[in-house]
Amino acid sequence: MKYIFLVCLIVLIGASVLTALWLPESHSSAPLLYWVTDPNPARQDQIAHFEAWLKKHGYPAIDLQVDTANNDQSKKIIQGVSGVAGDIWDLYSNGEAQYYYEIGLLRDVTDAAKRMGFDPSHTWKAAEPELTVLTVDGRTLQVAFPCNATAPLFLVNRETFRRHRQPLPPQQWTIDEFERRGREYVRAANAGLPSRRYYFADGINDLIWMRSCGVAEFNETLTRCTLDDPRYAKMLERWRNWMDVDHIIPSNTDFAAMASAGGYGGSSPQLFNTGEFAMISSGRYILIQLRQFDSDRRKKGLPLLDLGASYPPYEEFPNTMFVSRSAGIYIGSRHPELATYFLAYLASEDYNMQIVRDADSLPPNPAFTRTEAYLHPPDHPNEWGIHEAFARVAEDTGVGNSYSPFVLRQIYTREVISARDEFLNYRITAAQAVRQMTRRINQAIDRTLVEKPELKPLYDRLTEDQKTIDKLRAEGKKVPLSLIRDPFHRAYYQFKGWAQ
Amino acid sequence: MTGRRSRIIRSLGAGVGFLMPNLLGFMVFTLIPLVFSLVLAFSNWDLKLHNQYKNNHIQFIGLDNFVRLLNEPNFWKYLGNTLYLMMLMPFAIAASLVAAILLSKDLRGGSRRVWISLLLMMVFVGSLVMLLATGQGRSGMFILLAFLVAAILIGGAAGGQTIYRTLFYIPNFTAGVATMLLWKHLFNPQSGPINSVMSVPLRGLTAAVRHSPPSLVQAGLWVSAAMIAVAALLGLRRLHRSWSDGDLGSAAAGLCAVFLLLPAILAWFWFPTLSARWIAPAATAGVALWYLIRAFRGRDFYSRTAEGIGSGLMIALSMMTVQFVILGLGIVCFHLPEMAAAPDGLMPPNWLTSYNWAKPAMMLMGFWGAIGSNTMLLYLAALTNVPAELYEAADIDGATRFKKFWNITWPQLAPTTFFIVVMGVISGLQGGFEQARVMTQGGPAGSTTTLSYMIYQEGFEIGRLGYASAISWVMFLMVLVITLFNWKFGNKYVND
Repeated sequence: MKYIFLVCLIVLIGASVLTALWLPESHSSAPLLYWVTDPNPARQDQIAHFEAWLKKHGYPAIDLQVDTANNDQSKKIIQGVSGVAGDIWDLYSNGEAQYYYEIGLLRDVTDAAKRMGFDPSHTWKAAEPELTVLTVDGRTLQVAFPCNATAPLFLVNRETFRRHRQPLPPQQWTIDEFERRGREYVRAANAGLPSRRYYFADGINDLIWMRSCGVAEFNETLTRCTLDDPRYAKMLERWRNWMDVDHIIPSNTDFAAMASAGGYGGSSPQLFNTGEFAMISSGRYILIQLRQFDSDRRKKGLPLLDLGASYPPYEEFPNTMFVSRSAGIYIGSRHPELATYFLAYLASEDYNMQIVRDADSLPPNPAFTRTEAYLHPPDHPNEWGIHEAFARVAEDTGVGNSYSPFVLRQIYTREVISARDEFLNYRITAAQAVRQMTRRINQAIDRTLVEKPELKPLYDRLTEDQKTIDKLRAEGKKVPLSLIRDPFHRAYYQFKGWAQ
Repeated sequence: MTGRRSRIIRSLGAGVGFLMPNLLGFMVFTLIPLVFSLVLAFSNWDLKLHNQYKNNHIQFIGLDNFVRLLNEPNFWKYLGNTLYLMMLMPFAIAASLVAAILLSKDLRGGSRRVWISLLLMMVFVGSLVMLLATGQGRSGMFILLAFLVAAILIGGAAGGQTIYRTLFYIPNFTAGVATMLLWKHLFNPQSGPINSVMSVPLRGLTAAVRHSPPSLVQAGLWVSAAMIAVAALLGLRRLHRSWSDGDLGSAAAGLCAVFLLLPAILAWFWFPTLSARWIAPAATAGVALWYLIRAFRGRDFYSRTAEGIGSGLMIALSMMTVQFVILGLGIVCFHLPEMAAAPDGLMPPNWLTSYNWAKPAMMLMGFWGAIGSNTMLLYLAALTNVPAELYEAADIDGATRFKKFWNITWPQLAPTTFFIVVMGVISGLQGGFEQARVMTQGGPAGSTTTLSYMIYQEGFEIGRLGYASAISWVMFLMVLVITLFNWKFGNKYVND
């Protein structure tokens, strides 16, 4: 028996040595950094360009490896607090960045960004809330830089509209017009079919719609949730009717039923390509998948997708959501100074032009959306005009997301979805749903203040600001923008002429 | 003497050395985390505040986590979800027992059985072709499933027990996540085979309901009210008999009777018409009164007041489940004309996206898994231990199959059933995480979030490790109390 144990021990030691030798650290000549990101094939190209960029500028060599296995939020947290996470993290929202920063896992890059040229002035104005976090003493720190940016609009399959003898949608439209045209479209497209097959669009972004009605997730200072608004309740009712009565857009169930096809961007682009969805609400990145369809069409000798673009419909305030996939640096990185080179690379022309060519959403720097390569990609003439629309909708109407430092985004999202699902399942009314989500989010804010008393001074100061804002508004006076923290309110106040 | 002592020390050292890997593993991965989590439950450890990159100190906050938990409405909702999903347990046990009994028979066919199986397969394939011809079951998965069933029939007829036992056990050695993804496709509202199959009879039912007077269909509500009372009658009769025979104490009988009356009380609140509301409570109250009067006449044998509560509860809870099913069917009958009048008629459920159907969908999947689970294996093993002489004696006495099962097999399986119930309760309270994570993300509207998924959300999504530990220990306490109850008042046949 002892020999068996001995053999097992030797085998285990041997396997450990082999594993250690196998690790990239053991045969890498340059310092090794891990980039925790998604399994997009473009990442390898981006790394190759990064290494070439380092060489071109005479910066130190870095061996950057992609880590796609640990991009899940839970894994980042557990590995992060244990001190063994990757060096550079992809961040998919400011909610995520704020959370990691609060835990102490993200490095403040404010100074490095100014020194190396990747501060917020090098990217979209609307992207600022995505890159920065609010500290307990009220300072704004930069913790990330965008890998790309997204501002959704409706891509239109014009061939589908022609097939069903329906007029093409205008570039700008109101919610009423969207509804009217949607009803007519689904009536005409599904006439004579045994069951519904065609939808006007794959869905509608409820945040954009809500904001277009003037409804905000939080108040101006991000201290209270303000979703309990009759306009939001009305919007939810109309939204449900679009899914369950008018069938302009598919419900969750319809979606689940159709979602058999895979591919980049899920099943929506496939159904857009085959005509089931006349429009899809998406960012520019969806062109990656549509180009693959075009490639198949070319092989079969079919015409390319005939694409058009329409801005999101609105009630009174035209807007679109602006989000970014950003990169931040893990606090426990063994080479933080080298990791900042990667963030500087994201602001470089080399990287921006690569995003322009790949159509991997909007480039971090808006200046590159004015290049010929962006506006008129030679291999994709059917996209001419589309790229410009994506850039213009982001530039003109893009509004960053609202993130309150007093409630975790996960809790906010959970409560909103929970109440909304109850409404969509006819368990509560829309008014009850908005009341429920608001009450629970505000309870979560109160709980945060108990759990983190160090936030209380900031909260109290912002609450005082809120009182000032409310007083000025009640008196019909203009409000200084410096008092307003919420990106939506900043844009909305300017739109309404309420800002000083 | 010294040599003997050193020999003892050496052999002790060798023994400890051999035990050490296991002991170390147990301590590092079980005991220490267990104690650690207990300590955590009384602390405010939050990943956002307390980790190696933050300078905050963890504070002990006494029972705050527990008080907060008990005041949180979501906790009660998720506990309700967990208990709802556990309602599957009696059905799952029954199904695995039936499967075990079937598989304990020699199924290897003579030529007649093979022919019957072939015939069945032909009928099945014929039905499938008809479905396809009428535009049903277009999905490839449906076809695959159909031919799989056919192959099982043939294989079973030819190979007998071995084939069937292997096939029945497949759910248990298939990876859980893969199974769940498969069920997600099976539940697909349009292309899933379950709804494809259901849509045919539902179309027929729609036509039938549309052509019938609504009052006739809605009469199902009154029938169900009466059936609830009948079910209560049967339950009370059984309880009374046990009480009279001295198998059940007075307090135990009273408590079980309360459970039996519960559906009738709830019918008062849930039934949509006033007249139907009266029937179930009034009839059940009448029945209860009748047995109360009979109880005053005395009993044949006496027992302690809480004696046999386990057996009594088993009867009461089984009948209660039946009553709830009847209650639900009655309500469905009432709304049937209105549902059938909808433009699309009666439609199969939107399993995973509907608040009301998501939990039953998970139970359906659990039921399938339970048929071929370890429970079935335990019953199979237990069935081989039932003495054949008992059956022979019963045969001589002319007992029917059911009487043999009820008076020999079931009592002989009692220790196994008791073990299965205890383990089922423990795993049921801890369960639901994988399904929620893979199939529904706990939704819609938290309808499939169980306590174990809540622990994950609080601990790893929100970062409140202390609070998540408190939930775990509350769950442990519930498991402990129920298990102690089971041990104390478990099946009397086991205790005897």
